[in-house]
Amino acid sequence: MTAYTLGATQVADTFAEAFPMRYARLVITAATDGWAHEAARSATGFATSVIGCKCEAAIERPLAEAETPDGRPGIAVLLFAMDREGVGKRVLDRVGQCVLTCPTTACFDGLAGAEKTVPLGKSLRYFGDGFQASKVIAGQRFWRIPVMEGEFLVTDLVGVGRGVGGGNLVVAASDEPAALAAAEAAARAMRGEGIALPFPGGIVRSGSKVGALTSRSMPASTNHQLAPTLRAQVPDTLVPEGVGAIFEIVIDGVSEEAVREAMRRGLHAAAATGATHVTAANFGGKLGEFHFPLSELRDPP
Amino acid sequence: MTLTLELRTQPPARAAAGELIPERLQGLAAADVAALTLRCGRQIVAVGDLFEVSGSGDDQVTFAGDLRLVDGIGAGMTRGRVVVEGACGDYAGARMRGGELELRGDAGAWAGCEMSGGLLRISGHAGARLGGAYPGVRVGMTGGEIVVSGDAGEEAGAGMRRGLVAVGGRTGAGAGLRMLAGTMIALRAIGAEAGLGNKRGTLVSVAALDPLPGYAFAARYRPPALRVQLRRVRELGLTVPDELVNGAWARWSGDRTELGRGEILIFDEEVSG
Repeated sequence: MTAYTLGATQVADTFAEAFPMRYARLVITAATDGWAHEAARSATGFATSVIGCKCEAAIERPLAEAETPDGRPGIAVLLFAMDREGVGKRVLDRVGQCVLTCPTTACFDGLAGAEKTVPLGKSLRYFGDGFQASKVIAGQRFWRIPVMEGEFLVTDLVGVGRGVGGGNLVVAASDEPAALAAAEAAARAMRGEGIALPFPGGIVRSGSKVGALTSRSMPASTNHQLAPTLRAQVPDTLVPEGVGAIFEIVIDGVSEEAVREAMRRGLHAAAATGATHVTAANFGGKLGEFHFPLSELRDPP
Repeated sequence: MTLTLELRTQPPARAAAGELIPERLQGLAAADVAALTLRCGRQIVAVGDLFEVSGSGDDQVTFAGDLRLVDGIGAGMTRGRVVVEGACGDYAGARMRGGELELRGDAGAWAGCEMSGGLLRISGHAGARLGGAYPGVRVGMTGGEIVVSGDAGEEAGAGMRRGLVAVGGRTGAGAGLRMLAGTMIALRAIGAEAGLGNKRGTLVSVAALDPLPGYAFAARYRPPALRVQLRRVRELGLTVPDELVNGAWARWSGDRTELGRGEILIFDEEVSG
């Protein structure tokens, strides 16, 4: 059911359902912007869905030299997991394998002052095999881990905050190029401080449903109701007439407000770029504590 | 509100002002503060006999006048802010644990000795044993930050275990003597025997330096931790040029007469340039 239209775009009378998650913000710096990006891309790889990857992570935004603790180019990365322990394990794994190993990098906590923390350098320091050294700078402890290049500087602890995971928009258009253009525009508009879009390019083409029709062991399977190619063979199809392709954008954010505003930006950008329909995914409102009705996003950002 | 203590007359002997710290003066009216006593040589004198007291001691305590005979200003303070307008005596900020002590003039010996937290800023010169340890004590400074715009006397940072000492002017002989850890940064010339007996500490010298025989050259590199520390020092008010922050430093490991896990980092202008 259509709640309202934005130009030629029909916006469904529904809501996105999201869940509480825990998150960390890492600030990765390097000698050049290029190496900072390499490390950030590597550290946020294979982190699209907490179900399959144990965490969701994405580049939040590039940081200017003036914004980083060491005055070098940097990237802010957001990593989400279901609980603090999960955040701690994934941060340690990813910094250890993807940032420590990357030339010229250093890794700082982007949530300094957070009430809850997880160890990072405190655990990673053992890679230094006894040659590591700590420094307390402006009240914050860092570890200097000697490596073949020189030294890797890493924060002792990483702050953990309460975030929101699973906000989403579903963008449809007459064919794949048009739907993709609209989804790309939406993803571009959504990115910013406090937001992570964990899927490739921020966009999912394979939205899923919980469980499967044909198997009890599958935790998730294709969302057949939103597959345009099945429109004629699935009695309960949700693909509107005239729609040839659908993309989903999954949004994790540092707060309910951050997710809501990102959805607002995305909705209006998609509408302005040729989306014929915009809807959202939910589980009937029974699973997630955060609901984002599209009807509340009518006003432009 | 600021409590101001202006010296009205020179004390007959060295006075100990360690009691006049924010946490003890909070909420007291000027008359109450004037009625407090302090030790002056072998005598006990009223604060009001030495100082003209005005204001009330809620946020900041300010001392004014020629305070070179007044020792222990800000000693043991744990919070709040103390400002000294002019030169002060020995032991300023000794054993301080928190808060900020700003000396807008020269400081005597033992400034910030055995401090464990807080910030000590000295706009003028500092005497000997800045951030050091009292005689017979192995451990000096165990935390906090000391920033000196002028020169520092002998044995700055002696015995320090944690924390930061940064000197914008010349640093006297014996800097970092028997350091256990922590960081001592000398932004101009540094005296002889720097880093003698250093266990795990970091001694940083912008000026060329011939390290003691207990040190061995390791490598030239751009230390990431030093970059952050130098930016912190800049934030605290000292002039730190970009070429130091971004530059290459020679790392010498030592002192091998001790544990040998300490280091002297010497700015390498040639490589950096």
